[in-house]
Amino acid sequence: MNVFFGLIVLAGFCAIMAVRAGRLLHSALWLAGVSVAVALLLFLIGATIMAVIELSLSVGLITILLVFAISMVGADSPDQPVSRWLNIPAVAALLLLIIGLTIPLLGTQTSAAEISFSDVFWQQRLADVVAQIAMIFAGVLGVLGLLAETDNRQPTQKQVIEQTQPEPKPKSTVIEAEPELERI
Amino acid sequence: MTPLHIVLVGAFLLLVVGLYGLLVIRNLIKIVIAIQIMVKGAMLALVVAGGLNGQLQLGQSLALTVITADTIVAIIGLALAISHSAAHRVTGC
Repeated sequence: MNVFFGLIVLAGFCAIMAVRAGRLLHSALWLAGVSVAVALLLFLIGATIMAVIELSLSVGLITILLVFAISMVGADSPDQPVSRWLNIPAVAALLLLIIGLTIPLLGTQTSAAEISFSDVFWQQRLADVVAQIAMIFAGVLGVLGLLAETDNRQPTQKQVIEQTQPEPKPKSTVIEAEPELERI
Repeated sequence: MTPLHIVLVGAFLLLVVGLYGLLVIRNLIKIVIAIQIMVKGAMLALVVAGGLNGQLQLGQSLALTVITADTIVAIIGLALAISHSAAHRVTGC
């Protein structure tokens, strides 16, 4: 039980630090900490497959993507958090409300006949698999479209060279007089 | 209180912290991070709900769908942030 409490405190602390961190890179690293704590919790409650997927996707892929995006955007992007006095009391009240409404209604843990994850995923939830494939395709096409729009908006190399080079002087049509030679 | 109930409270805590982040943050990349925190809470709650009903594998399967959608949302959100930043740099406004 203490391990569960410790991991939840760790996840909550990392989440708050991710929200309150001043720099984007620090936020990304604190988010990786949240993912590690969540993966450990999933492993301890017996969801080993989700723990591995959470570790590889969230800690690996999402952190790398965030670091890449931060390097493209600039680590010093301005962030002025909006502070209103109502924020913290409102979310604290929401948390207490959710806990008060759900925890007393939950019964004790029941045990049913265990079906393997592969049977559930590939047979019972096949529609979910198809939906995931469609979402991945949609996501890839969306990202390609967004980044192609970004490329079109940026000036090409030829345009940059033309802007930096000085304009050539127009050729003069007046014949300049030859300078007189000094008589020795 | 069983360990699953404790983990469920932790899931709600993550959900609420993510919501607090969405209320106070204005930077687009940090908004993506706040959404990620919320979805981790939701995913944890799904797995715990499956565990409480004796159908942990079903909960894992549903959580896998959620995490796939969440990853795609994060990727598109970050692409939007990069696109917005590039437009900001080109137009100078």
